Amino acid sequence: MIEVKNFRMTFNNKTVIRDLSFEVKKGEIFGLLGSNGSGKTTTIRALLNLYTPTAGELLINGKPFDANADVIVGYLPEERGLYKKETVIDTMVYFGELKGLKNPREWSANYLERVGLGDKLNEKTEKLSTGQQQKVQLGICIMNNPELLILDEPTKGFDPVNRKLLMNIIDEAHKKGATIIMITHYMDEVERLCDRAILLKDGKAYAYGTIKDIKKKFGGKSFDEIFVEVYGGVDE
Amino acid sequence: MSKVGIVFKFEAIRQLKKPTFWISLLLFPLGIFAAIGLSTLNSVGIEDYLTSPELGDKKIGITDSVGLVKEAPAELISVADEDAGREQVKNGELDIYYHVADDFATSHKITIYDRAADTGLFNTNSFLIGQILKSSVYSKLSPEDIVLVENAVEYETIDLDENGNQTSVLGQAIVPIAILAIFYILICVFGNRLTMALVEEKENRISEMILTSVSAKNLVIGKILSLIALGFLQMVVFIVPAVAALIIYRDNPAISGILAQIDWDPVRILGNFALLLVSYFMFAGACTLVGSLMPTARDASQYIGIVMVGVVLPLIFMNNFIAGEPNIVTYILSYFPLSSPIALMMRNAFGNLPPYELVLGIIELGIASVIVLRWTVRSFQKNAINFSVVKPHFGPRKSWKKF
Repeated sequence: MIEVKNFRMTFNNKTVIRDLSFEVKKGEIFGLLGSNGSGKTTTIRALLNLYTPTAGELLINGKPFDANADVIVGYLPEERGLYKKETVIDTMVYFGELKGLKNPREWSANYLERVGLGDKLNEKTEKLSTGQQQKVQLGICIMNNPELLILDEPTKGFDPVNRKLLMNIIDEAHKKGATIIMITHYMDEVERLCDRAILLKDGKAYAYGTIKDIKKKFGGKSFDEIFVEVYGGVDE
Repeated sequence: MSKVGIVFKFEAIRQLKKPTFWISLLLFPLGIFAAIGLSTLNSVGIEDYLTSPELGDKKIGITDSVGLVKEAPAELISVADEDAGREQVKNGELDIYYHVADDFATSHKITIYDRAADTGLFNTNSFLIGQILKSSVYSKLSPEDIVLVENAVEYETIDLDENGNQTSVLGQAIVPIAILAIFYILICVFGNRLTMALVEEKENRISEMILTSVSAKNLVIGKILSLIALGFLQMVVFIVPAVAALIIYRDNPAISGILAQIDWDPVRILGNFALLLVSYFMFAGACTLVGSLMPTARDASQYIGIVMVGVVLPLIFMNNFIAGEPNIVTYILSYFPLSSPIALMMRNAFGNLPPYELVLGIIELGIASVIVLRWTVRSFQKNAINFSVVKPHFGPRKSWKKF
């Protein structure tokens, strides 16, 4: 579904990504891993045409991403926010309409009920806590059954209960056929959810393959141990 | 509904929900009504000076040893001297007492005694004696003399064109200048909103998420169109009450004077209206362009000043547009996109814009609007997730080919 070929990205003469190539297969959960500043978010932004790559190709279903194209993408970015002065329901309905959801108001109300925000429909989003806002943002991402779901640290800052709830929601989206790219620093999530992964270091693929293959390459270590081994000494 | 339509609806409703929008929307029309209403209330016709002012139920006394009041109203009570007048006010026998100074010819002084408890914050007792004195003086004058003294002569200037036909330079300019004024009001009211339209996407950190649901082009166009539509709503809200006020207050001497002067020149009026439309599009593009380049509202507000300076620059050179042969300054300001709206509208209002220049100006502003709007789209696409100030690059660049 996704092909990244010889991708290079340079900002102000500083090369952040060098000759990166990988694939994400349809229907899999793919872990995009690396320490802070390793180029994960840059890769996703270039894939979604928010950055113009210095060199190489980043394709979704064989074409560069276009918001007007048929492919439905749900993206929970690292830098996330909502319209502060708008109500939760108005914000979700707006995004639902943009994503072509048939009944966005009903869908949003059901989702908010499910994530414990049923009483917050008419609250302004600025009144919500960070965690509550994150639930709204995740709802916006998964509405209209996206074919491709890109989640940049989706459970950052969540307590274990809400983290489990969100992982269940992500798992459901996957079961409905969504291909998922997940950026996370929680290695237990990678081992439990991901089919394959790539570890970026210094803008290059340090390790790439199935979870099993990567673990095998590092002598059967856990992903937590692998992460420390690969990025040990890197400022977290 | 198309994505542009969805953005349009969302943005328009958001603006309509803001109290500040309604305040700015209604401020100008209400201001006009209030101003005209007040001028009507304050206006004093010549005939008012020929009748004595109403003194009402008040007991008013006066000591006028120099004989200022030649024909005193019957209700005015003559008092022997200042001490007696002061005492009568104190005792409540008089509400107001006026003492004309014995040396009035040199001191010009009238002392007013009244009870502090009756006067309140705004004391109108000096106005009352002024009216009494004026009526007294004017009662000796003929109506014609009063017109002269009051400087109330209604001058009628008949301008003749080169063929000897009657024309009116000011009369023909009134409506086109009113259209120019509407443009000014629009940019004052909507300049900031237009700039903030894209800044807030970045400030709220929502741009990255929304650009996977809608293209930068559709988002920018939807936002700009919604604000342009609201601008036209502002225009209607401005024009309709203004026309209503003119009809309602048509008997007011000031208003009837203006109405009598208006010379409806359809070419100039339609010309300025066309300039207003393309100028507003161009201005909307310029404001949103600034918004697309800046990361925060604070940064944007600093740079929007550059756009505003360009727009108001022609006012400094107003004389160049009103009369005389056009010079190099006239042409530069007429065709530099930011200054051209005001320059062209002013020249057109005063009949100094040949038809071919009017057409050229409309085309130029139309092209400038398209270029600026496309630049805005590209800039927003490029800078939507850039959260630091972007220095605009004005030099030649490869990306220009993409326009």
